[in-house]
Amino acid sequence: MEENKKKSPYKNKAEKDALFEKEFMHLITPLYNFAYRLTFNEDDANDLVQETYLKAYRFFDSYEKGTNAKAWLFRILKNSFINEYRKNVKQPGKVDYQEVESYYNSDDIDEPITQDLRVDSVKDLIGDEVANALNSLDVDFRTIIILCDLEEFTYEEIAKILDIPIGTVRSRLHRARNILKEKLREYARNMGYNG
Amino acid sequence: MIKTITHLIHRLIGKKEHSYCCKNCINDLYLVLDGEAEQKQEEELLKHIEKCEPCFTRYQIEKSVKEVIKYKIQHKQVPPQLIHSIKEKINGII
Repeated sequence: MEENKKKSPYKNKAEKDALFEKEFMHLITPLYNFAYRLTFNEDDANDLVQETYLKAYRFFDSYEKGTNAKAWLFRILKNSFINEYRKNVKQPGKVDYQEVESYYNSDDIDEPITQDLRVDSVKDLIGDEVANALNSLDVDFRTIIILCDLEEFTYEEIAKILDIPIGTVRSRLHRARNILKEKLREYARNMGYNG
Repeated sequence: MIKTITHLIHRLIGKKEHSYCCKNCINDLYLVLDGEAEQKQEEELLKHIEKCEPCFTRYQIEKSVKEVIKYKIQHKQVPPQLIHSIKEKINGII
């Protein structure tokens, strides 16, 4: 692996392209879904995914084989999203997540948890309700739930993808889940499951 | 046993109940559900929730929320032209 680093390890471009496609193209479905859940827009998701692959291609020589390809691509996509989309989004809607985190932190472990959320009512929810509840979360909370529960990355991989310490991964997950449960409870209540 | 009694007493005197018995439990519970716990931690938690009603209920709820996220949310199909256009662009890079 070390020897591969300096000079280009490929015979020609066709070989490089074939390797690149083999390594990364099968990951396009989770990437596209991640992009769509970040932007809620098909065109933006297309652009983000395309940009991610072009960047990955540019940095393919520095990609170490055997590292988690999916986590590597997710990290590139998330950085592209932050660089290009979040700064373009008009500022009034911007949520400072540190602020949000400390807000939720104030209640922290003494959370008045959704006592009336029952297992049966969670299981009775339909896919659209679950998706709507997830989509209604602030982007940082939504992202961490996607990475952990939907894509099943480890805490360590999530920490690398998001450039945050593992402790922050855990506390953000905890808060995200509390808010998500609150949303799910609203759906369950509207459906009369808990009435 | 003590926890069960405490739980009952709290219920009788109307003290606010948590949906778990202590801060450690909820932390361990997430570690176990997320596949991040060490084997010993997992065994201890599973043994604990057999006897602790609030933690058992909480465990079931957290587990079911994780499951509906994983299995009920529909995935969007990738537009075929996106795959095509990425491959084309990459092949065009010199």
